[in-house]
Amino acid sequence: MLKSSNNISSNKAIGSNYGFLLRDFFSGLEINYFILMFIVLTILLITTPNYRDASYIIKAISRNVEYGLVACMMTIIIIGGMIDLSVAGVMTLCATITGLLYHNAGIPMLGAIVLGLMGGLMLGMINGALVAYLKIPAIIVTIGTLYLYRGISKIFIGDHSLGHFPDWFNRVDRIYLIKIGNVNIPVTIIGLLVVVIIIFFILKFTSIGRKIYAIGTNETAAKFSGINVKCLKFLLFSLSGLVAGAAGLLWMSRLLVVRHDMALGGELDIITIVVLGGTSILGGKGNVIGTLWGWLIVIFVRSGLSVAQIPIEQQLFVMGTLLLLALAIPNVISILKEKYLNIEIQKSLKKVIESKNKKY
Amino acid sequence: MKVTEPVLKTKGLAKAFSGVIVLRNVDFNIYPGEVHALIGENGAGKSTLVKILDGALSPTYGEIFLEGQKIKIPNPLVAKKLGIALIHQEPQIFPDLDVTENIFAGHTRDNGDLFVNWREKRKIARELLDSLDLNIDEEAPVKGMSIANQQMVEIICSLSTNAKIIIMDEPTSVLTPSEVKKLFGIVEKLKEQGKAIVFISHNLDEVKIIASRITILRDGNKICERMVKNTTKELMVQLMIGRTLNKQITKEEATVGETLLEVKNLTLHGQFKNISIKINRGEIVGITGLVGAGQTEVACSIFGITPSESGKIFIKGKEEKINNPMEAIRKGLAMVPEDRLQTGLLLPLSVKHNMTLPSLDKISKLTWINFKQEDSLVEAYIKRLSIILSNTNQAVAEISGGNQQKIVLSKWLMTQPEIYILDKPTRGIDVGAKAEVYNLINTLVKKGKGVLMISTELEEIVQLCDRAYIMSEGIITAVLERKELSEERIIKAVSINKKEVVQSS
Amino acid sequence: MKNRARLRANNKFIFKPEYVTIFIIIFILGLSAIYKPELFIEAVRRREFFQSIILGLPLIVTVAMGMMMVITTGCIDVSVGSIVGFTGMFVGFLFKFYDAPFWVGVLAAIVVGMMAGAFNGLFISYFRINFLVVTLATMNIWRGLAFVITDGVEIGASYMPEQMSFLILKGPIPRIGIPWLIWIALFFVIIMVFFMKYSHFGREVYAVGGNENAAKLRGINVKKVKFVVFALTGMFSGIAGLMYGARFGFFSPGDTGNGMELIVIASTVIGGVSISGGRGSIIGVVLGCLLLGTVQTLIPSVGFSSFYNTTIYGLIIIIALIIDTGIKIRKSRGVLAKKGVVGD
Repeated sequence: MLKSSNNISSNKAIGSNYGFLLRDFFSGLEINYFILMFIVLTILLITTPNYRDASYIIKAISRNVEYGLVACMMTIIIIGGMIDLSVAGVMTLCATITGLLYHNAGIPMLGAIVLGLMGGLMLGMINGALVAYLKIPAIIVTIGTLYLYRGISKIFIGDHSLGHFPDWFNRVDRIYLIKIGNVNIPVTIIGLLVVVIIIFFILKFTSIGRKIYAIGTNETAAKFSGINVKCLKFLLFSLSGLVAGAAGLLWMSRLLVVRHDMALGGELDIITIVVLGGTSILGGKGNVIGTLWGWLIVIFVRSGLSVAQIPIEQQLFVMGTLLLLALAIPNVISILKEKYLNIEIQKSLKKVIESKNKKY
Repeated sequence: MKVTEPVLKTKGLAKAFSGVIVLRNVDFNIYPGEVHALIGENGAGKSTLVKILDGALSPTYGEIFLEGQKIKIPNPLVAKKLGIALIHQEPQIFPDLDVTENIFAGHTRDNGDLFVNWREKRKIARELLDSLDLNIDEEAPVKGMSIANQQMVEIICSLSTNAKIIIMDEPTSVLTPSEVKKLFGIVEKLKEQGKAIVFISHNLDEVKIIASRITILRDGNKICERMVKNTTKELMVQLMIGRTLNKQITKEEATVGETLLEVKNLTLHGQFKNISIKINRGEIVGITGLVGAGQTEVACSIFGITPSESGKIFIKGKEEKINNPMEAIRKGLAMVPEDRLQTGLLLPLSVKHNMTLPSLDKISKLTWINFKQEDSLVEAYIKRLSIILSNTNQAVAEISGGNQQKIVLSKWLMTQPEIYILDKPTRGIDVGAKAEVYNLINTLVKKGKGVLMISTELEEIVQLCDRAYIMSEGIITAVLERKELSEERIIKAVSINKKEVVQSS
Repeated sequence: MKNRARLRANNKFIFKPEYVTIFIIIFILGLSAIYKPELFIEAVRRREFFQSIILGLPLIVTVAMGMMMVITTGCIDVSVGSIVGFTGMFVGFLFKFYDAPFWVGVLAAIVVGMMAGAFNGLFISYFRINFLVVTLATMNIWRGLAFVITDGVEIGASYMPEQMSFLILKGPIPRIGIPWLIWIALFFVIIMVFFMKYSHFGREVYAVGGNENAAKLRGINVKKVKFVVFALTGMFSGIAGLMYGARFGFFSPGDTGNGMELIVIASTVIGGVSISGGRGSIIGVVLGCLLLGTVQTLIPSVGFSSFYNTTIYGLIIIIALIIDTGIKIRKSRGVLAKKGVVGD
């Protein structure tokens, strides 16, 4: 039978099943971290001009759906202990391929899209093959492919903007599905939310989700436990390529053109989103709801900066600082707490031992 | 034995972590030129005690005296300066550096030199190696060395820092009998040099051979400090666990049936060659030999982690190809790996998640997990193996070693295999838990399973196995059936030349 | 005894796995030279070719000295390009608005660079944030700050003290026309070679990268080692920032050091520094820089547009990684791995 152990206080282990919404929401995170983020979000919302204008907010959000989508997929990859820095490159190359197939090869847009997505899938598969089967660390592989893929786009379309796509393709983010009050919600945001929900359920309720957490925690032990690590990693990277490709197409639809510098530096934003959401970059911990949270924060910070007319390059400074602070502050707090607790514990334990010794 | 003052002693040493006192009022005395064994069950506090002496942990209470002077050991660097060296159970080496660089890594500053004089360091390394009669090249890369040699490098490292006190944490658990003998020879030499040796081990036979003094810990308390020659093994066990235990390993008879697993001429270049093993229903089959001889590699190969290049595997008579552990599990195999902390368990995850990991497909429909089923299965196995924990969502890292091993075992029991491959299943667990493991093995074969057990503890092999394969340098040098099994025969077969292969009648 | 000799031979120069990658890539280049000899000869003939390499190399090599240490400890620093840009702009700012003399600029480059690197080290070691996240963040922080300094305005040649041009026009030995820039980089290389092999700190860097846990147990202050490594890398990047201004004649917030991290990381990886840490040599890194510098200059000469640059670097990184992994797999084949985990 289960005996109560007189041992160390039981920490909630990762991924308990019940009460999943509340407990896992905070799994691996300090509660004060979430409170901090909540405060930040509120402040941003209030200080953003036009915050009362809900449609303005929706517009700001819908501009960032692509990054949100990639960030959700990236969450899975990071939980699995890996990273994919090449996503912006895949986005660009996939869109480039689609654009070129449509324009230069005369393939009807729908076909071009399908082929472009397949291209994205293949780009992801290349990453997957190098990481999963050749066992090269993902960090450096995806740095390499990032430049490789973006470079190829640059070779293909140079400095030009490739545009003039059919009307039904353009501005997919203007297609409204639902109306809340008097605000139109574009289908892309709904789509993203659906994706988030799907990913949430996959991670929490399916065996695949468990396996992903497992390989992010301890890959070797996962392998010894019968998980096909190579296959799973390959699958995840391929999927990441596909999702990035789709995001690239969405971007192309929203901006009407594809350029070689599309989503330049996007990997920073995406990783910021994921990390702000509480997912540990080391793997084995995290969840996609947090990513949604982080996504909103990044959106509002950026839009606030744009409104304040801070030039893009200087915005980088703010984003970088945000990322650092968001991680440093909870860490520093917990380090200090540890030290303080330790001192207190040692003091009280000394007293306990002293009193026990007196008894002997 | 001369009665001298202890070179290092602790007085009233105590250590507590939040909520738990792991060491209570321990007076530990280490004398120069003597081997002092520290024994006790898992969780008794041995590793905590030596970690404090090594500076890795700070004591909550109590004092430490070095040659009469009261000292503080805030970190391992200070411990080294004071002459205390800890040889870890798993050799901590730097794989890309050579022997000399390994020896001096981290304390190149000791001479007070501004720069590192490699020529001189190599000379010193050579001298130290020669002082212990070791045939290791000081410029050889450390990566390819046997564990025994890597351990030697660590010992030399402690000598290079002029350690006066050398603490060895279960050094023999990764060694084969002949390597243990060699290690004991080294220990004797160190004794002659006047070093004080602290020897932690679960193997009481070894303790009887090598140590002159023992300290027994139980539940954080020092039970006693005695001279070895006045203490029998039974008394040691009794003091260690606080009650008498029938320590004899008994084998229970089971009916032997069809051939469950047979491998023929398995070969993996550089690791093993022409391995042929047969396991019948109801049998406990053992593989033993030198560590690094390839037993674990063979097991990993059968289980699909590193599939062999040639050879055949037959499961219940049918030829199978096993390319990865998933397939192995599906075909009825299970493997309990050697190192439960790194490959057997995922420490940060909960007990529940760990246990159900290989069986996920059984408890989920189209990948959707059935939580109720998971919970009831987990509770059933916890009950069956009497695992002690506070709740199934507890992180596995917080559970004691013996219970951790039980979790690993129940994890594999849950997959309901036909064949169990157990790699050193009793390594690093205390006497009580060991007995439970032997019990389990007996129960399994009585139920008609087949067990393949890798072990370097000859007593286990001799007492339990129906048949034992002895490996040396990647090939099987002998196959001994139950009636011919004896420790002497095994040792002889282990050291046999590659060309001769002893076959039983 | 025979084994001893063989093991020693394996450790010697040519057979060190670090250099194999370079030889293979040189081989590939050699093949392409044979294939299209005309372009190569034409390219090499032009004086600009050598000038381009010779002047471009010191920048890359200097930063690579730091990157070598970072990667050897098992980390990566993607912020180096931005530190180069930021310190460059800062120094330029001092030159333009404070009429600072040359030596002040040098000092500023060293100090500011070191502080930027220390900033990285602080967050990585002491605030315990993953090195990738930190350097990704600071990559943007420093680049952004570079723009903030002059609100995006470049600092042109007219504001530079004359010694800046001396760096590329003059050299210590008048007869041999090798400019100061090269000598300075060479100086750094020689110091680093000795530093990594013979200094205590250098050995600790290898130890930390080889087995961080073991290093801790040996008493090495891993946090301090990583902190110092990042600080030194910042210092090297700062100096490279100054060199950038000398080489190109101006400081630009968008261009100075832009994309440099890619070339430097690629050179380091090609040079045999293992991504997992603990292995690598300065000489290898220098060879890697030479190789990539040559490739960079060859590309336009052979007729490819500069658009191909990033693609080729990315490709080279991946090829180098594949070769490196292939070597590792071959090596571990013969080794009886503990715990049956082969080639891990």
